[in-house]
Amino acid sequence: MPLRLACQAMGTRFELVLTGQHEDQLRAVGELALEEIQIAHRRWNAFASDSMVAHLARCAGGPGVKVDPETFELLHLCVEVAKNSHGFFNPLLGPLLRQLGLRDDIPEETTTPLTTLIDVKGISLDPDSCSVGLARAGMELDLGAIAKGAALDLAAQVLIEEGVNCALMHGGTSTALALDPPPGKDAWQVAIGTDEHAPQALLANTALSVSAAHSRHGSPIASSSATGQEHQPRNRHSHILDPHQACGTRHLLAAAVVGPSAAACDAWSTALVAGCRPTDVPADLSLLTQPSPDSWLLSPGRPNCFRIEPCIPATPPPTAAPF
Amino acid sequence: MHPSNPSPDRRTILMAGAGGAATQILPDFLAARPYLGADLRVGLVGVGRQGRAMLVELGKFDEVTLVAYCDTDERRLRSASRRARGAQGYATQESMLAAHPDLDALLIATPTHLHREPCEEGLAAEKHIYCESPLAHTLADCRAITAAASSAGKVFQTGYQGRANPVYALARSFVRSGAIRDVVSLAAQSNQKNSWRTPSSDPAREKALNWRLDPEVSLGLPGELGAQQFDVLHWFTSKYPVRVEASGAVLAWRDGRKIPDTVHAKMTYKDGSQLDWSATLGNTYNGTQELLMGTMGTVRLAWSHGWLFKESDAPTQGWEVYANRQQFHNDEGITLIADATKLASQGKLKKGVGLPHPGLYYGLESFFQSIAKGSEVICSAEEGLRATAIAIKVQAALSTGMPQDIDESDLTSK
Repeated sequence: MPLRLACQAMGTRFELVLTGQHEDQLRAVGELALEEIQIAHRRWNAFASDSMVAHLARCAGGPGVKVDPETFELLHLCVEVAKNSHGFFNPLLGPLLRQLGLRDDIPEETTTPLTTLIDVKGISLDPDSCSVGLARAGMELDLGAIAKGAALDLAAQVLIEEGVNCALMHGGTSTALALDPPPGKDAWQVAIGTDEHAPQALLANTALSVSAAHSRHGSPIASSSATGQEHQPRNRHSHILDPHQACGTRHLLAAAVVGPSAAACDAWSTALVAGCRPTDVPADLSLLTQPSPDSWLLSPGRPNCFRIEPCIPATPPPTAAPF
Repeated sequence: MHPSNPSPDRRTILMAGAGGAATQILPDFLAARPYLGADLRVGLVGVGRQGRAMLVELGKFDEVTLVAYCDTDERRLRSASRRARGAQGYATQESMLAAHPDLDALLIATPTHLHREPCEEGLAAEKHIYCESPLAHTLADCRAITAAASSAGKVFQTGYQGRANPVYALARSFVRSGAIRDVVSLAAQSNQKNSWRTPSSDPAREKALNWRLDPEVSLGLPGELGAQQFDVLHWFTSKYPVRVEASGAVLAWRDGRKIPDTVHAKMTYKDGSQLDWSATLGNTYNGTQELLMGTMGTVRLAWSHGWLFKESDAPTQGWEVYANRQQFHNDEGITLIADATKLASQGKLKKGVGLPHPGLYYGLESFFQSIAKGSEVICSAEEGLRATAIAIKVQAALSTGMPQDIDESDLTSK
């Protein structure tokens, strides 16, 4: 019987499904993994004034702040994805979200133009001192499009270190990470969406992240725009932003990315929905995109980790009838 | 703000009020990097839960290098290597010290009942020691550690973190300057949902790794959760209870354990006031917090935040007009922010301010400052002994079902 454990973090619910022989042992390991997720939450939650991310925002414009190696690595990945996606993934969108009315907290008073505040070049990373700096006062990190995945990656490391190899985890249903599949199966099957013919991702020692421009109530394809949000966006139909247009995205309806790192999948699925070209996504990631409500496209030349059911046949056009 | 600071600065409070939504309690934590003025080389003894937490925090100090760590558990050593880059792992403290005789300090994060030996060894090797709380599981071990610490002439800090917590330091200055007047009641709770089991794939290691559930060596919830809070309340009030009653049961995790997962204790002070303390591993509601209720107000502490609730007949102090407030059902809390003047001048109060680091960070920072700058040790071995002794008494009341009297001699190192 699989054991399920859950916790609240990053404004959503994380859940683990673990299989193994001894329930007490599984629970103990699972609790350790949940603890890891909570530690990630405390560091990377932009909405809590006592998080490391909030501290970095307070110190923006000043000298770099020394951070723990995992925060440093995460920010390094942010900068890398931002660069390779040509800015469609952007971890500095807090001021823009606020300007668009998607965040209710009070902005820093600054005369710095918005374009400067959200310019990823303003993030400086010093690997020697493991420190991070934000160039201008008013800049702030919002890791909502990557932190859930990063937390799952850390939790998975704990499970593996403690000898639990058969597990499925998700954060807010939009990002999942699978270890070995359940006994007798080739993969964990995860539906992308709730309707009967939703595509499925087949996961074994891989992660999946799904982002959607239009979040659907009850749908598992709602990628959150912000970690630990206390305030729901007022406009739920544009919660992923196109940083270049400074508005809600009008590109893909949804994008699913499968790959070894949940953090990278999380970031790249957001970048795709925001407008990034699939060709900019690293070749080892498997992509599935939804340009219109009835179609899903598999990106060619990549590993395929998806199963797409036949589409519902369109209703045949009425035959001409005599008057 | 330094704990010895007798009262909060009026202007500080005023500015705090002018800026934010509720007065939160915070001091001089805004420096991006703490400056010690000396390079310190440290070793970590024990890389279980607490040791791993230390690894995260150590990474934030520019001038502190974690040179080596040790643990008797091979899997933990492997796991620690992820967060202890550049440091070397050893199976024993002895081998670690032999390989790195030039370490300045040791951080002891072994199980509570295994604190004595590494502390004594470390002090004998002339290392400064930070020992996690509680100090030990018996009064005899506490006294042995205290004796070793007092004769070694090195910095020894017990890991009671409330004393290093900037929020708590400011709240304490309020309480001690009479903001809530006469304390009539104390309460504290520590609620979490966790089985307290430690994973072990090796049955031979099961008992050792799950020492918190072993009645022979564990101080249970009073020791592992309560002692921190008992220390905070003593630090605020300068008084210790003279009698304790306690009851508990296994209510959440019926897996054959003997250590209660839910505990209630009532402690009585000489003046007749009482502390109600409870803890559970079966529910997270309201988490960990302490309440000090006085005739003119209540201070509520929740580690990263603190609030002052004033009685209606409490004298007005001017600054309150500007104070930010937070509503808790029918009560309005004033959130207190130390260093608020500086924050306000930087326009950083509007968003509210919380501690950017966990309590452990401030405990370690204070320890390093004591070594590097000779600043006063915030929680000596003697102070650590006192809070630990209370926890030992609560655990005794719990395990015997009998009230325990606490004599002053129970709280001394002799």
